[in-house]
Amino acid sequence: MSIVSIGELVERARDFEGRLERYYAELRDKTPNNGVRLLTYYLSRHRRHLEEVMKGFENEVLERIFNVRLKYDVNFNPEEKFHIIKKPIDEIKGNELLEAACAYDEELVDLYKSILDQPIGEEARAFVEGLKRLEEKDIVMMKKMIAMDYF
Amino acid sequence: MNPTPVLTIFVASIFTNNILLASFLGLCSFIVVSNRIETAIGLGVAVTFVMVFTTAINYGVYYYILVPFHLDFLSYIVFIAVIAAFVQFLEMFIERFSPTLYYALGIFLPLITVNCAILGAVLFMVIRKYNFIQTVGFGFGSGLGWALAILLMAGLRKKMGYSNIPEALKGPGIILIVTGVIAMTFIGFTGILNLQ
Amino acid sequence: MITGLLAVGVNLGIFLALSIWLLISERILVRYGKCTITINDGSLILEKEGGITLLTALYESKVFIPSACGGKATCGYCKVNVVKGGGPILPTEVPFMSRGELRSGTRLACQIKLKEDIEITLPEDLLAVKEYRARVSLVKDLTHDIKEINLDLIDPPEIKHRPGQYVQIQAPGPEGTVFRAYSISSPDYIKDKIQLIVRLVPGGIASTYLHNLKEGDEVLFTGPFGEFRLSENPDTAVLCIGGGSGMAPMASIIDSIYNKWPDRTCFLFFGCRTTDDVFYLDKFKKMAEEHPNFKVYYALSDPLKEDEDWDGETGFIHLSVDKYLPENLDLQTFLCGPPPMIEAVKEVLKNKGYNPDEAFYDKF
Repeated sequence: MSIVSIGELVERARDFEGRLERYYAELRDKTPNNGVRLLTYYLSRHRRHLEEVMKGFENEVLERIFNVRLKYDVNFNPEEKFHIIKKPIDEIKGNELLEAACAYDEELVDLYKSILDQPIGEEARAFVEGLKRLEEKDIVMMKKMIAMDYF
Repeated sequence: MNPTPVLTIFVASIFTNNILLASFLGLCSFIVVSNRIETAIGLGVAVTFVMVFTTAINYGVYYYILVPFHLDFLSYIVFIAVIAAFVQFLEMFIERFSPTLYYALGIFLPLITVNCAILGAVLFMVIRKYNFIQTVGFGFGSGLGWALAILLMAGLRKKMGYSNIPEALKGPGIILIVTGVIAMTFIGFTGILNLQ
Repeated sequence: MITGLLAVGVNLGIFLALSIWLLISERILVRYGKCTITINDGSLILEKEGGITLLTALYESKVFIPSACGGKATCGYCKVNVVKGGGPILPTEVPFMSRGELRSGTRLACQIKLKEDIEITLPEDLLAVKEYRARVSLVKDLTHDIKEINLDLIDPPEIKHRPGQYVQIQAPGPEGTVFRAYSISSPDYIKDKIQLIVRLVPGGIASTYLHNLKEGDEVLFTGPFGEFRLSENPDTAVLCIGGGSGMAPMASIIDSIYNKWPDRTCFLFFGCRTTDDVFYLDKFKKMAEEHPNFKVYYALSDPLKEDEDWDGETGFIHLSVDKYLPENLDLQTFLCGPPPMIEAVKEVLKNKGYNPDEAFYDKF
C-alpha cells in the first residue's frame, strides 16, 4: 500500500508496531524458549522510537510535519518483511526473531531514505532524519546481538 | 551626464524601478533562496554589498581604463571578471567573520556571480551615464530593492506554506505568479517618480 | 591590429590585477596564523596553524578523541566541550546535540575550523590515549569461534590501562581502515602486552581480520578508552555478570583484583548457550580454590545434549544471579552483554535491594 503524507506514514508505522507489541506479548506467554521470552521485553520497546523523536519537536511543528504531502508515493509493507509473524509460535528461535526485527528496521530505513530524496521541507527532513538515525542505531545493535548468539 | 539627483535615483531604484520587480533580473536565486526569511536576509545583504562595490569598481574600470583606450566593447567580459573576483573575495570575507552566514548561504554565495541583477545594475550604470556618486547611490538602492523583494517573498512564502495551492502550481509556479502581483503593486509607486 | 593588441593587453592587465588582489586577500583572510588550543585549563596546550579543523589538529598532535566518520559530521562521536572561541554552533552539528549539550557549549570537533585561540575541555582519560604498534605473540583457540589473541607492544613499549577498558583495533576493510573496539582481557599490572578475546562474527571485518592473524603479524590500535573505575576499597565486593561474549573486561577485572587484594569478595556470573561455548572455566575454578572469596558461576541457556555432563547452572544468567547473589553487600557491579540480558539482570538487582542504576555496563 502506498503512502501520501508523513502523518499517514507515522500512523501506519504506529499501527503496525501496536500489532507487533501484541504479537510479542503473545509470544512471551506461549513460547517454550526462554531466550525468545527475554527478547520480547526488549523488542516491544520499538514503539517508543517514534515517541522519542516526536518529543524533540513542538506540537505545532509536528502538526505541520504530519501535513507534509509526499511528491511521490512510497511503499510500506511491513508484514512482508516481518514474515515470521505467520510461523507457529513454538518454533520461533531467538535469532530468527532478531533477524525479523532487523529486516523490519531495514525496511523502515529504506522508506525514510526514499522520503528524504523528496522535497519535503526542512522541518520534516529533520524529523525523518531523526527516525532514520534511530533505526540505523537499532540495526547495528541487533546485528551485534545476532552475532553474539546468546538467545 | 545624467541630471537626475542621486537621492531620486536611490529611492527610485528601491521602489519604482526595483531591479527585480520592474526589470525581472536576478530571479533564479530569488526563487531558490526565498524559502526562509533568515537566508533571504543573508542573501539580500550579500547582494546589496556586492552590488554597491561591483558598480563602484566597474565604474572606475569602465571610465578610467576601457573608455580612454576605446575598448568599451570589452566591457561585458571585464565586468563579469570583476564581479566574479569580488564574489570570491566576499566569500573569504564572510567565512572569516560570520561562519553561520557562510553556512546559511551555502552554495548561493558563489551563485551571486551569475546573478544577472548584478551585471544588470552595472550595465544600467553605463547606459544611463551615471557619475560616480549616482552610481554608488544606484547600486546601493538596487541592492536594497532586491533585498526588499526577496524579503517580501520569503514572508509570503512562510504564509503560503499553510494555503491550499493547486498541485500544478506548487513551487516556482506560484512564486512567479505572486512575484507578478507584487510587481503590479509596485507599479503604483511610479506616480511618485520615475527613472529613464 | 593595434586595437587588438591593446585589447589583449588591457584584458590581461585587468585579469592579472584581479588575480593578485584575490591572492593577497586570501593571504590576509584565509591564513589564520598560529592558533593555540588550550585543553582542560592548560593541562595541554597545542599550537597549530589555523585553517584546519579542530579534529585534524588534535589528531596531528596525537590527541585521539573518538571519531568514526572522518570529519563528515555523520557519526557525532567527536564531541568536545568548548569553553572559549570556535564561533557559533553550525546547523550541521545541531542534530547530534541534546538540549543540555546545546546549552553547555558541546561541539563536534570536526566542524570547528581553527581561526582563533580556543579553549576546550576533554575527559582526562582521552589525553592518555595513544596509538600503539604491537606484534601478535600467541593466538589460542578458546572455543570453536572464540580466540584469545596476545599482543606484545612495540611502540610505545608500555600501556597504562585500568581493568575494564578497551582499545580500538585498526582493521583493513574493503572500504578503507575500520576501527573496532575490543576490551582488554589482560590485567592492569601487565603493561608490556595486552590480550584480547575475539569472537568470529560471520562477515565481520575486524573479527575476521583478527582471527586470521598469525604469530609475528603487526597490529595497530589506539587506546585505552572506557570510563569504568574499579573501586579501590577492598571491602567493596565486585560483581561481574557477562553473557555471550562479554568475558574480556571481566577477566581483566578479576585478575587485577586478586593480584592486589587476595581476600576480596568477587562474584563472576557468565552465561552462554552450550558446553561448546564455555571457556576459562578451569582457570577460574583454580582461582576460586586459591581465593575462597571468589565465587564463579557458569550457566548454559540451551538444554543439554543427551550424552553431556554439566555440573554448573542452567537457564539464563539472571536466574543464577537471583539464586546465588547475597543481599546487603557493599557492591560494585560490572555488566557486559546484550541489552535484554542487562535489563533482566538489572531487574534482579533491583529485587535484591541494589540500585541497578549504579551498575556499570558497556555501551553496547
